Amino acid sequence: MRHAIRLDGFALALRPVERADAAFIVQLRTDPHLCYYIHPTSPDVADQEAWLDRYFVREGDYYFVVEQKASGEREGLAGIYNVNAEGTCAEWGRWILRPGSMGAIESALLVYTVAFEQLGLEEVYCRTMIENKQAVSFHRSCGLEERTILPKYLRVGMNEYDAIEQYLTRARWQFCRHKLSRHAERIARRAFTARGAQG
Amino acid sequence: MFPSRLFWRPGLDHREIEQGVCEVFSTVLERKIPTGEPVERSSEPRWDSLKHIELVFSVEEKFDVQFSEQEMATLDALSKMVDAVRVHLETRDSA
Repeated sequence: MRHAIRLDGFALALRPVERADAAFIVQLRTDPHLCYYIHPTSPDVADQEAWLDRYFVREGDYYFVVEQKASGEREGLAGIYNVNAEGTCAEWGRWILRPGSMGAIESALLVYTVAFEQLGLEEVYCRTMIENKQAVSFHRSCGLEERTILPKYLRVGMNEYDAIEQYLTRARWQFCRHKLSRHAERIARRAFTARGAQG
Repeated sequence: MFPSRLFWRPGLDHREIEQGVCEVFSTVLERKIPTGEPVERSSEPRWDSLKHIELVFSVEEKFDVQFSEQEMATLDALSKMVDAVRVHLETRDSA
C-alpha cells in the first residue's frame, strides 16, 4: 500500500518503494548471486511496474527501499506484509541487498523498529527456504525463534522447497535490539568515516 | 561478549596469528575449529551476516587492528582473515 513511513538509522534508512524503483527491484531480484532462495521474479520491468500498481492498493503491505542516508544510493529492499486483521502480526521479507552490502544488520534493525514501534505489531515472522542456511542462521542470531516447517512452500521451476517460519515477539525484541543496534552503529561509524575521508 | 583479550605482541608469526583467529572462530561459530581447517563463509552454515560482523570485530580486538569497510566485505574465509591480520601487523611492525 502507499505509505509514508520513513525511518533513519545510523548509515541506512528505509523509505517507501516508488514505481520508479521497478528497474532496481528487477535488477536485484534477478541477480543470479541473490535470487536462488527467493520467489522467482519476471525480468520484465513492465511486469514489476504492474506488480507495484497492485501493491499500491493492497492493504497491510509495506514495501521499503533500503538506502544509504548520506548519498541516497539504494542498498536493497525489504517489506512488511500480510498484516493480520487484528493488526498485531505480520510477515516480513522481500529482503534483498546488493552484492557486497554490509547492510544486513542495520536493515533488519530498521524493519523491526518499524514493525514494533511504528506499526505497533506484537509479532513479526519470516519464512525462509531451509536450504538458505545462512539466512536461517542470521534470523536465529537476531533472536528469532522457530515455529514450524512449511513443506513445499517455494516453487522454483519444477522444484519445490521447504521453508522454515521464524518469529520475533515484541517482548523478545526488547532484548535483541541492543545487539543489533550496537553492531549497526559500529559498522556505520566505520563506513561513514571511510566515505568521509574519501571526500 | 567478544572472545578477545589482546593477543597481539610484536613479531607474531603466521602460526600464532592463525591460532588466534581460530580461537575467535571457534567461539563465534560455536564449534571447535582446529588450526589448519579450511573455513569459508560460503560453506559454513553458521557464518551468517551477524556472525560475520562478530568475527571481524573480535579479530580486530584480539590483534588490535582495524579492517576497512572494503576489507570487511572480502574476508569470507578464515585464511583470508589470517592473511589480512598478518599484513596489518607487518605494516604496523615495520612502521
